[in-house]
Amino acid sequence: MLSYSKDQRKFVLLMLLPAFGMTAAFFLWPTIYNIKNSFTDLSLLGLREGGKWVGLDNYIALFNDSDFKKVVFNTLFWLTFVSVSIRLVLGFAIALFIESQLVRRLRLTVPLRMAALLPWATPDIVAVTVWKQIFDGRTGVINNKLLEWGFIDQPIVFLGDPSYVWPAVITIIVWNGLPIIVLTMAAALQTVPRDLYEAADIDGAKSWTKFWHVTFPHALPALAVLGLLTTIWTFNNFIYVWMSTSAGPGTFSNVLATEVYLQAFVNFKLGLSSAIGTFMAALAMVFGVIYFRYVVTKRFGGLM
Amino acid sequence: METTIVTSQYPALELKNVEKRFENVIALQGLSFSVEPGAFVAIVGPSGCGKSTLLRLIAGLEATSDGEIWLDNEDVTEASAGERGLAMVFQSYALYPHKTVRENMAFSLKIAKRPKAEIESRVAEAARALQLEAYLDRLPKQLSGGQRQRVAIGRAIVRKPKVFLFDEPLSNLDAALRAETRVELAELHQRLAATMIYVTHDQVEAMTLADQIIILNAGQIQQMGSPKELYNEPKNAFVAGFIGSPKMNFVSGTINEGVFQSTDLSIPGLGQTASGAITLGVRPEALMLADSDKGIGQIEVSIVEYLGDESVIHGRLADGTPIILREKGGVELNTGDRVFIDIENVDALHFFSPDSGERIVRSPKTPNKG
Amino acid sequence: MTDIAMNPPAVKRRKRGLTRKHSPVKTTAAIVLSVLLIFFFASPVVWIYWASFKPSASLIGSGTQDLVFTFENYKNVWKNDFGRFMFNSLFICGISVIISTSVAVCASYVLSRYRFAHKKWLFGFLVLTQIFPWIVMMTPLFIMFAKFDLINNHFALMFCYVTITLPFSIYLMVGYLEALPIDLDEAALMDGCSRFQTMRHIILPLLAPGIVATATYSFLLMWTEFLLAIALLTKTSLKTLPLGLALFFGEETVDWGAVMAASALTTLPALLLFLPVQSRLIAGLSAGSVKG
Ligand SMILES: Nc1ncnc2c1ncn2[C@@H]1O[C@H](COP(=O)(O)OP(=O)(O)OP(=O)(O)O)[C@@H](O)[C@H]1O
Ligand SMILES: [Mg+2]
Repeated sequence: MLSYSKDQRKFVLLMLLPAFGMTAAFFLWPTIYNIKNSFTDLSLLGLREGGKWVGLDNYIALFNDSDFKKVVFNTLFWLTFVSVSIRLVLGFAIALFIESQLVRRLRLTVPLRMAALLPWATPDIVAVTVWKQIFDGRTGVINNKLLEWGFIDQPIVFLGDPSYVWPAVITIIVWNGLPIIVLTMAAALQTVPRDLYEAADIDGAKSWTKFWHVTFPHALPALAVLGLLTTIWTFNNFIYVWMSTSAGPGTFSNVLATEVYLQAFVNFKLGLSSAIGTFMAALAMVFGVIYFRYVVTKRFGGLM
Repeated sequence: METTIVTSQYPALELKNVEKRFENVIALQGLSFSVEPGAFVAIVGPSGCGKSTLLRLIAGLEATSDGEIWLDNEDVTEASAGERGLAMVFQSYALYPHKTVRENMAFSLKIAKRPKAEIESRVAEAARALQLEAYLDRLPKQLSGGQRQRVAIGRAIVRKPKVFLFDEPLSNLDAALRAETRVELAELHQRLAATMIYVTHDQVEAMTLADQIIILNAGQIQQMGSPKELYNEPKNAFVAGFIGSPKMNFVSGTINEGVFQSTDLSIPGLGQTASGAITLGVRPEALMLADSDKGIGQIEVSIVEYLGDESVIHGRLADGTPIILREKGGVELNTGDRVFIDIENVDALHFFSPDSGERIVRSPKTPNKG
Repeated sequence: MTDIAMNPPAVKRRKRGLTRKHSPVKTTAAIVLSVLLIFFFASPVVWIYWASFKPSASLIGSGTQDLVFTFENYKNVWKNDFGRFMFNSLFICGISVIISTSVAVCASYVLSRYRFAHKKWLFGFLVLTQIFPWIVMMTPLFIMFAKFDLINNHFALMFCYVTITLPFSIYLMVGYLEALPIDLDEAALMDGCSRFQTMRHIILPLLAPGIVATATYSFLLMWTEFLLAIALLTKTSLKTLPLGLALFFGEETVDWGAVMAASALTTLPALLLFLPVQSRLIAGLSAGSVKG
């Protein structure tokens, strides 16, 4: 750590200012503005006149609205909980599989890793696009094949049918978001100290015991961090739901991110949209605090 | 190389009441000392006592919290590291990994925009002195530890600095190489006649290399003096215990009318000394085995280290106080043996206040006259 | 799963004679599973490229087997301004990456090298911006930029792109800087370097691989960014690639051939850039969390 005297203080400030000045301008102002708007009945059509102060009305309206409860449920349960759990469990299992002795011996580790890189490198918007084609009711590959093989006689509109829409959306998310877990966990598994396995072998441990007492504890921190990050990213994500279903059919797959957008740009209710946004940001902050406490302070603790 | 600076009438380095705080931790406190041009000063002390911090303050890598630092009659307290014209050899060597040996050594001169010819000749000169000519175009990672060490020194030499600063430069070398490099450093000091400040926690290194030693403990100077002074006249129990190997023995007891008395030891004939509780300090080399039932007391031998020309005997007094003594040649002793010990000369005894640890000076003359 | 606990290769080699043979059933199961996984991961991407060379009509119904190849789709998207979108994206992302990475290098250097008060809050703020749902800022930003007449202005979007990539870039870069011993900076200072010279001669050359990885990551983030672009760009000729891609979804009739060609063009640079730096990113991700 370098110390600094007066002229170096200038250097420090000079180096920090662009980064933090820009970030603050970009994030702080909109946040404050958003909170302010959430107490008004501002409309997108009446920007010039501005909104009237309505106190907590927007928030009260939200909490009395059963549709909004469903939006929150969709966000927390379907979009976040289900998709994150599937990714973590499957991702860790696949990582273990990829790094297992058998797959190594079969020389399939590298092809598997290469294949996993493809979805990771695919932009989310492209991922949704291609899967929309695959799921398409008229032209999609899945429907074509199912029809051809005689499993169904009516095409299924996966992204437009309430009984299929969440599984379909989650499939897209999992395809796009599984590889980062698989590959990072595979890398983490390679860092398990070898002598731990040797010690376990000497003790005559079964592979299941080795897993519980050596592999799993060692992989857990990485899994926890990934879980946290993935949760935050997914909770905030707008693209997956909006591009695949536009929150439909109807508002069946509506989530917080799309609701913010819909209220603002479809219903023109900026005040209400801001209240939803503030609520959403507050929820995200809960994860943020956990993330800061357990990851950032640990990683950069020495610097702070 | 130049030898002009030795004639300067000002101290090469002077610290006036320097203090360093890290947030609430006081790392250094009330440091004042001066270093004559051409001197080799070692700074020693236990781990965490502030040696590196002190060196970094002098280097300008840390800012002082209070006090002044003067170099050759110039106040540099506010000057940056680069402006002070000092060179530092780091414990980790800190060679630039992406630069060759040549570039590493030439870097400071390049930054100072010296003419090409001068840079080349100075690098060549340093490389010759340090036998690095064959390695000039290698990268640091292609060198052995000892070679890297020499490059680090070479990087300092080419700048012809007013003062060289070393932070434990030998601690990453193995024992043989360390002894060898120690000699080379001594020669280098002779040849350059430059001022050198040398941090180490190895008191043997300090004793063999330095003209002056500064002993630090808990951020304060315990004593500054020549190796001889520190050995013979330690200011307090800390210094006495720190200098000398094996360590000085300490026995607590009382003194009364020229007689030191502890549970197991009795030493008469000490002359006029303060009376009351006191700590006796006696170096292992001042103790000897006594003929049976003579001497100042008895120890039970716990272990004997045979070193060829001498033996180090570790034992305990009956009350458990550990005692170490050195004997010439080999001794026929086994663990558990009880032997009498004696002192060679009462002048070799040291006394310290049991509370403050300060040295208590005995009345000057030999005890018999007292 | 066959072996729940995996054994590292070195151990395996030493004990080859001792390890039990895997039963043929397990081996077959592992091969089948691997093939399925590879199919699941790779087929959609392969499908994009395959379909982008097929006549649009053949993507409807089950006419996917015929081996007609055509550049028709690429010609189509090109006609529909896709070249324009690509240029816009390259221009905006290129400049933003340069600015964002430079600014991030400066800030992370100071954050990793200097001791000063309230650093914890700076880190906390950076994290906060990463946690924050960007969708929430859409309206305020839209209003703010509208006020200053900055809608349909590429520089406004660049400003946004620089700021959204800054926190993550700083986070990554501080990690890379931590791997460079501070002794090097101090040695340079002793050698008479100013702070800027230290950065230029010592830190930047050593940090180069980290800078490349960070810049690539930022570029990918910008290249695929959709939300801010859709809020700030309404004029077709100014739009970026992701917006262009969305344009090909007509309300009812979708020209899938064109969509696939557009997807292929959007994905290709991402793939080419991502593959060389992925191992460094994975290492950063797993090291940051495992070591803690
Ligand atoms: N940047 C810092 N922030 C806070 N405290 C510090 C800092 N640097 C040093 N200290 C504290 O100052 C004291 C002196 O440290 P210093 O590194 O000078 O010790 P040292 O004598 O060189 O020890 P060693 O022999 O182990 O190298 C220690 O207590 C240390 O914890
Ligand atoms: Mg030190």
